[in-house]
Amino acid sequence: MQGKLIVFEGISGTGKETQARLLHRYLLRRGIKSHVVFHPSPELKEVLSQWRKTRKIDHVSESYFLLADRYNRVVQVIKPAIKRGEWVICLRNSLSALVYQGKTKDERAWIAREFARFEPEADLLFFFDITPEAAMARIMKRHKETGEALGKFETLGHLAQKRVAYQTVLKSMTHIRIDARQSIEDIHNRIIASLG
Amino acid sequence: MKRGFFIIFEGGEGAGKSIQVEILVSHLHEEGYSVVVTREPGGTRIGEQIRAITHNQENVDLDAVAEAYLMAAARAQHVAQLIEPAIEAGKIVVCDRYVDSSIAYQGFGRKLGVDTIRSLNALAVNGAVPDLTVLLDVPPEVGLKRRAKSRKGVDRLDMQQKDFYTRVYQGYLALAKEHPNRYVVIDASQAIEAVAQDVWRSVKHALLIANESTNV
Repeated sequence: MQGKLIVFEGISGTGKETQARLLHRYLLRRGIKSHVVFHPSPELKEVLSQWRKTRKIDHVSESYFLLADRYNRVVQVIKPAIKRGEWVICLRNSLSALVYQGKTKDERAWIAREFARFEPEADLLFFFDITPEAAMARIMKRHKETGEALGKFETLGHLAQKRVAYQTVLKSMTHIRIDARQSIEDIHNRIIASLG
Repeated sequence: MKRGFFIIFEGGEGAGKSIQVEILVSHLHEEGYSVVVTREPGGTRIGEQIRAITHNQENVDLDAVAEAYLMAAARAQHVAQLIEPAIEAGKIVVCDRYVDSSIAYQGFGRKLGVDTIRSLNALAVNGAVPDLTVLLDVPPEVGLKRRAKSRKGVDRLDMQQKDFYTRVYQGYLALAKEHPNRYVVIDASQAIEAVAQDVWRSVKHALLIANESTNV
């Protein structure tokens, strides 16, 4: 039997990673092996953040790195796992590129076409939605508690802008909207109920 | 300010690109041109790091599509950071390999498809199309023999099979045929000096035409 591809999308501070861990554990207890896959990979994320600071990496160059990174994940991890009947929980997928990459409409259309060459379609796409203010409050809390550095999109203005971008892109896509203000348990239960 | 001029050297293994780039640049300097010399993949610090990956023998199993994206990543950085600013500043940019290398090696050589590689590179190139592409034409058997004799170590791209190189070679000839206005094909099986003379003649001619058309 084929596995499933579950995708969690949404701006920072919406609790995607927490829910991915909970879903992974839930599936494990039901005897289903699953993989949590980050996009971009943590390795690339680190390299890009350094190169932004030290090497003035061009935004187009970044898009190509994201493509190479995702392509490798899809071919080496995601597709083989699904074929083996395992599940894959993606924290972001190529949808993020449409929201975060590309300076013009044409660039975004090009990026979408390029990812579409290899990105497998999600069985379930969850959009974690929250107001920018609530997201920012959570990001600051995490920043204070764990010392995790703030990302380049983690300002109130950016969060507001990216939320609108998500809403626009998702208009034409089948997805399940998660109200990310709810408690961790409620969201977890909502996700499980959607698995069918 | 007058826009500069963008010259590319293309060709298979052992065609003598690096030496011809050097000789051409010395000619251009003598004539008083301001020249930027660069290469692909490479040309920027990010590009050189990617070159280290794509040319490392240990990565002989590097997936062809991933390789194409990495090459394009290096190219996007190269165009934005170095090539486009130099051309805008009125300089002559001489580059060892460019998009047509990707088309020849990945499109023809690795059979990913010419159109696939061309559209994959569209965003990286971003309108920076060469004014002149010098194809150093040497049959793969001759080029590979030359390469083996030279003291350069064998890199990953040298280790592919012979029919791969034949496809690359045919691909270059097809590209030259497709773009007769910007391509000049030079018989690179000649002696270095003879090749250099042919190159210089073609470049001088192309620069002359470019100057005339901007002066009208």
